Amino acid sequence: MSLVVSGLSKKYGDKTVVDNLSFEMRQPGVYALLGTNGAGKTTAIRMILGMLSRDSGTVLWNDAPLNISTCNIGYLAEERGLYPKFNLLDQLIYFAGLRGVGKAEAKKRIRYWSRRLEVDEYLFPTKPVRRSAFSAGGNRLSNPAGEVRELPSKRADQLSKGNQQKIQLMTALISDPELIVLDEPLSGLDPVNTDLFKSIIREEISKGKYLIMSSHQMATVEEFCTDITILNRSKTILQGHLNDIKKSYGRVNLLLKTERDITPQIRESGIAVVSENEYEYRLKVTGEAQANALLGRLIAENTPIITFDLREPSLHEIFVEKVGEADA
Amino acid sequence: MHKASLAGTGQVFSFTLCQHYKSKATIITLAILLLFSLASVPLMSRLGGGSADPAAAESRSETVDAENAAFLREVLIRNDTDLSISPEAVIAAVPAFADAEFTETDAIADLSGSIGAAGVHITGTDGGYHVTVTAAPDTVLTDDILDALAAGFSSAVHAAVLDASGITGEQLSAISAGWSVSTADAAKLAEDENSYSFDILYGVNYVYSFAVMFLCIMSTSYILSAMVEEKSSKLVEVLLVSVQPLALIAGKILAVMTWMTIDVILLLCGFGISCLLAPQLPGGVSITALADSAGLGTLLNSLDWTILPVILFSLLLGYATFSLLGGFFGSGCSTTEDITGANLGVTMLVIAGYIAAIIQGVLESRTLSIVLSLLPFFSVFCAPANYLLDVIGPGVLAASWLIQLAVIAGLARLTAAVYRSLIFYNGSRIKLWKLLSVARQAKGGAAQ
Repeated sequence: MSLVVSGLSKKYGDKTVVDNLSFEMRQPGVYALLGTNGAGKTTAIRMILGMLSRDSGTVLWNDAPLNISTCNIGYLAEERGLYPKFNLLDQLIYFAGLRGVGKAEAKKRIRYWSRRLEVDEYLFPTKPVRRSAFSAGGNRLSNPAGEVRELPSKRADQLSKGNQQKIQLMTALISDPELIVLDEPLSGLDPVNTDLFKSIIREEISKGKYLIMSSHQMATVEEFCTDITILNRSKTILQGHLNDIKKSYGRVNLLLKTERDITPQIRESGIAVVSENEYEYRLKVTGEAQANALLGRLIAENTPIITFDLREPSLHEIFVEKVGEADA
Repeated sequence: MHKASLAGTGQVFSFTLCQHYKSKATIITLAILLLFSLASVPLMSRLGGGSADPAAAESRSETVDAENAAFLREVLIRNDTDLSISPEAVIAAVPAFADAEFTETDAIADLSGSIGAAGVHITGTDGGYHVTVTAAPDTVLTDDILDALAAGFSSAVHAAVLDASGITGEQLSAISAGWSVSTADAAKLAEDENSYSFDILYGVNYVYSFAVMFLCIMSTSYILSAMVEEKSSKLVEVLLVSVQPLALIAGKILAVMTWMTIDVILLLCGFGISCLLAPQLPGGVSITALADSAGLGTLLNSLDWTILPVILFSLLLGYATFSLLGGFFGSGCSTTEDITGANLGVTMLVIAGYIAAIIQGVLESRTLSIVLSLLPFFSVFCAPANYLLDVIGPGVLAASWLIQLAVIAGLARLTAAVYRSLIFYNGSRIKLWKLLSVARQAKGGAAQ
């Protein structure tokens, strides 16, 4: 399977919102579509999924034009959308039915996902049956058999935002899609649910799915994504394999923590200080040699060193730098 | 229209329909309307009952049963007219009173204590007669018995008047039938040979176009609400990865048409049951008697009900037309606040069609009727009624349908294109001229 996006462009009047976007996914994994607010990410996603027309460009899935009849797509939109007043179970069966999943199979999958996402109390709420009996000692027992009866599932407006998001994720995954598009999947989630979502994303990756993720949370993107495209004001400013991009920057970020002030040594080494906080220094070095030279000097001076961490820049740092360059 | 564009229409249709009937508000409203329709004819006959209309009073006399009538022991008759009114004529009209004692008197005394007695005072001259029925304050006689007694005496007075005049009932009907005079050329004479009276023309056009107007306005409102709901709750993105915009609109329109049809059929069934039950209830009259008293008896008897399928098909075309029009205007809406403005245009067109139907009924112009029967949007209101009244033939009706189907197909394409273009639109309501501009430019893109 493969996804090939070539030369996507879109204009509204004189304003270009997506300018010649191209990327490929030749193997399963997560592709990150990053960018500042208003960069064109959501428009690009909508064009890829065929919701918006394209002024130019093609989107091929397995060498054929991508559309809802040639590809089973799961989509988690940035703006959450459920029918607020309708029964959740009915909605999920409906969305599954739209993608060709029969009612019985849909219910099975809903049960699985509701347990997985810990929302079964909303989709399959139960209530103890009121029946009383008397124990051998003459005491009244309420619901002695522990029987429960199922109640109608809740409505969307009865759920919190986070739980609605889980239901939304279910709608994206219920048809076991081949291509999954997640637009800001973790926004608004608490840490526990964030971990839950991440574990599900990992599962889908392990199943060989193709995922496109758009997010502002760079740390999350780094966890999953192998390839990225960064957009700024409709244009692609950086693209490629994440590890290769990081390697191209080299290991230039140094985190140094000591037990005493070493500012003079840093100044004398000619190393730029990014930030400093109680003997914890974030430094920008020109390369490993400069970092090692500083280390050698500190050791020679018997300076107690708690942390010496030379690493590649984070995606966040690359993003900020690239966007800054583009805006300059 | 690509077949794939309509894939998913069935699911959208069944989901929309099911959720509509799962709503408690819908069920309660439907139940209330059904109760009203079941009670409609008895209620109408009850509200019209106790009137001075002899015909109405006479028809109610049949509902007094022997068990209740047995409470009437004595009838005191004070006849201040020159008519000879016999108790036998009263008993002939209301056989249930055969066991009561009829006594002529010069004055009806205080009936207190005579709980089974009634007094009947007949007054009047050749200009008109009046029957007044009284009973004791503590009487056991029900209103039905007193009404039936009044009806019986009305019938007796009527017979006495005819007798005094020396004419029979048939002679009276012939004299009071009425006639009209007109001049026409031979061609028009041949044309008008089988035409209906003005009352029938006006009545049919009025009733049918009113029903169409009501249904079209309701269906348009539902469509607009459904479309805007999905936009405002941000559902469209979720739906568009599974189904094309045309399938979304088509499914919703079909669902709204279906539930309105179901509701109308249920209400008609309720009305039908009401018609059957009404004569069986105390004080109830049949629908034909009610129609007669309202002057619609001739109309109902003249109608050929075998054209019901024609009416239903025309109604469906009307639904589809104005629903699509609602969808077209709804495409330019983003929030529920925009619905009123969007609805206005369609409502005005519906009202124009309604007024056109009334006018053609009044003017009785065959040319106008044919033109309106063929004119898109207006034909929905005019063509079926004109066919029913033999103003147009099957050929014109068929042509009307074909034109309407073509309009529906065109509207469907236009609406789908505009809906798709504006599916992510989130701004103030787009007016008609801008919508048409969007439709011209539509290549399936979306404006922001």
